[in-house]
Amino acid sequence: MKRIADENKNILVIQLARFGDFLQTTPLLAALKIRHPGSHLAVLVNSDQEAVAANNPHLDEILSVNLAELKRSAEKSLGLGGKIAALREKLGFLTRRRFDLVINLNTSRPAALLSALIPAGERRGPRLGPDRQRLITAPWADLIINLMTRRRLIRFNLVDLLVCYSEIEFRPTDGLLYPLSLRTLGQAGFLLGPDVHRPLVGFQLGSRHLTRQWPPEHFAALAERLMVEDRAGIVLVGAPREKPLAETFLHHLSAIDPSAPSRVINLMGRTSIDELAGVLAELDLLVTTDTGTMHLAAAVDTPILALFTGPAFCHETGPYGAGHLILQAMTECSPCLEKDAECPDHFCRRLITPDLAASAARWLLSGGRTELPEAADLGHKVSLFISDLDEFGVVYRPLVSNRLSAPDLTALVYREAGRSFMRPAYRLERERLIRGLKGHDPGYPSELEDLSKALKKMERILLEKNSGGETRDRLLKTAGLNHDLQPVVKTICSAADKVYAKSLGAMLSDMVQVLSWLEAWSESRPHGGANGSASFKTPARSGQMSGP
Amino acid sequence: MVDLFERNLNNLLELDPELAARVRMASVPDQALILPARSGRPTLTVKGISLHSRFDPVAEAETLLKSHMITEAGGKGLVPALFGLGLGYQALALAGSFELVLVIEPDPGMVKLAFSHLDFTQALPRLRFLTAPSAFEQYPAALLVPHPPSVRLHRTAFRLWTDQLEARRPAAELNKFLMDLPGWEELLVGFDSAQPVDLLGLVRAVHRGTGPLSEGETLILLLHELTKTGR
Repeated sequence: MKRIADENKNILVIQLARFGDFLQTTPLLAALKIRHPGSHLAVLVNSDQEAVAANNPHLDEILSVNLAELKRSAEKSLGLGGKIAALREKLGFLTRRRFDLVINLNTSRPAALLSALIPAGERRGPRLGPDRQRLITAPWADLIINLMTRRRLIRFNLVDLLVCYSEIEFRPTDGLLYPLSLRTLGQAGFLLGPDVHRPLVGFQLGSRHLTRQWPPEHFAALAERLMVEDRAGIVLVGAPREKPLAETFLHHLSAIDPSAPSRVINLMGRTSIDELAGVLAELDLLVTTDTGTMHLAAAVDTPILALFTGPAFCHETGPYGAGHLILQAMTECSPCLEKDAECPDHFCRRLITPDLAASAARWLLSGGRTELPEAADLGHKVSLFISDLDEFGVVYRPLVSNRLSAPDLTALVYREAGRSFMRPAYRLERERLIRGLKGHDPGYPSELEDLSKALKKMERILLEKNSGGETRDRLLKTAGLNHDLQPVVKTICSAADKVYAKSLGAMLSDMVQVLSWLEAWSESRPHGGANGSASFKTPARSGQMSGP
Repeated sequence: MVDLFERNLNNLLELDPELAARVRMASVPDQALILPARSGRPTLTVKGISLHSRFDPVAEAETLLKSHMITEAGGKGLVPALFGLGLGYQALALAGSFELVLVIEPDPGMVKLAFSHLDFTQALPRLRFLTAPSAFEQYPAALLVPHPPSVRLHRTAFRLWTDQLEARRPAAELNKFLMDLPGWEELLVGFDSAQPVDLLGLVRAVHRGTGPLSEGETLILLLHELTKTGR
């Protein structure tokens, strides 16, 4: 393959998802411009995201496609041949181009097929495998896909994963990007009106799915506390389809204080994306669930209190940047899958109480000068995290110290070893690891000893010269019923490329190394720390979740 | 000419009285123009579309019999279902080679015109005129044979028929259906884009499921995904 000079590359990024996903792509776009200075950077978005993309300064060209329109056009045509001819004609603007590099960021089959249609020197991201069924991608992305079966072990934010496609070796930015114009800020001021109470707190009530939604009556109780105790102004933001939620919220607020609804600024359904960005920039705080609005607030540097329930897991899609707070509901079944509709009452939404949210909000509004909730307030099923940045990307650190459970520590092992697998320049560092554990009660649950033994054995198997099939069988046998090992074993077994297989072998060594540091850390500190937990090498309570 | 039309119609009356009544009542298509071909046989133009060869419409119809699609259909015992009658040259040619020929003609006026110019009396016992796609249920071995100029004339109706045909088959069977269809790539002749797609080759590639994805194969898969997901 002809090597194109880095600075002259013609690059296309395919991002066909929603505007929140586009915003989470902005650090990748920045990274590509750093990695390939002077390159022509284009993006392919769904047509309804054109305006958001147009605001990104890193882009030289915006291409858009309307998949629904493509379908309609194909349906109008005659027979299979006619339909295909129509599709080919509609996609001619892509198939007649040639890019040096095409990066597909979506895991849907239509996106993978669109990516395959565009002539390219090099492709990255999900694509259709030779069996025409399975999507294949880079081995590091395979590792993440395999980890999705054990989501509690994931400590990789989507933003940082997307950046990996640029093959840059460091964190390219401090946050998401959505530049604001003076005009936008002026419009926001007009929408908010002249008599704004400070601090000004925005509420994003709606969410894509009920399981991610915080109950409107909880929002109402939170609003009442902030309005009375902190003299805060409340602004409702959101899409037109969420208006019924605003009505429910105002109804509950009225029941608490009949005069309160008249003091709420209701902008729900009244803002374009650009105007919403301007309004968010004016806020002192946004309280939200896992939404596109949350990512937009992060992009305009507004502090966020994020309430994560159901399938929403902050370690995957939490607010990007430093200093945001997240209240994460964590039950036996968390994080669940969005399609799991069997949960009858979505009880985890109610675990985060208005009192908890109020004290977290107050802590953010006061710049950290007020009291945080105690561990006892949080209970075993809610964790409070603060976002922070390191050289790889974002991490979510617990603000209320507790004992790290075996899954927490295993997740940490995956995070550290996985990072050096994804970005080879990232080096394991004992001091950084220990710094990240500050405030935690030490402990090394016995499950980790078993994990370490199995990993060492797997390392040896990989070093022996066996046939591929024999190696796979022995790895699977060694992993046995240890579900926490399945993600890495599956990734090794599916890696066709010997170079990557070798890298995965190195990842196993890194996992063993991290485990040994954790064991040493545990033994070097007195036990029975902040929470008075004294027993050594005992499994932590199952279902309790926190972690670095 | 009255005699020829009446003779044809009387024969049809015995076989399909309902259709015969509709043909009798029908008006010939607007802007229909009958002109003699170089061979002396009548030829037809409707709305500027020539439905038959201006040189020799009989010879043109006979080339259909030699086509890959029709020879394979004969070999596999399939029943040709001709979409578009025109003046009837193709239907008569097929009736000379097949025991049964299905004819789909959306406009009864076209049948009237055809009956007025060509002799169908010998062929009619072998011809079945279909009026609704559901009639295909009776003929599971039917093979749709489009008459390309007629397709251009009745695009909407043709889509309706092909959609109905495809809808009758589960999506999973679509590829198999296409694979089993003899010479089905010829379905595209006359109404495809300037660059005809080798669908047969593409579907074979989909079935093989190996090697790099070709553009056409990708388009087929994308079309399938768009239809399936509704996106």
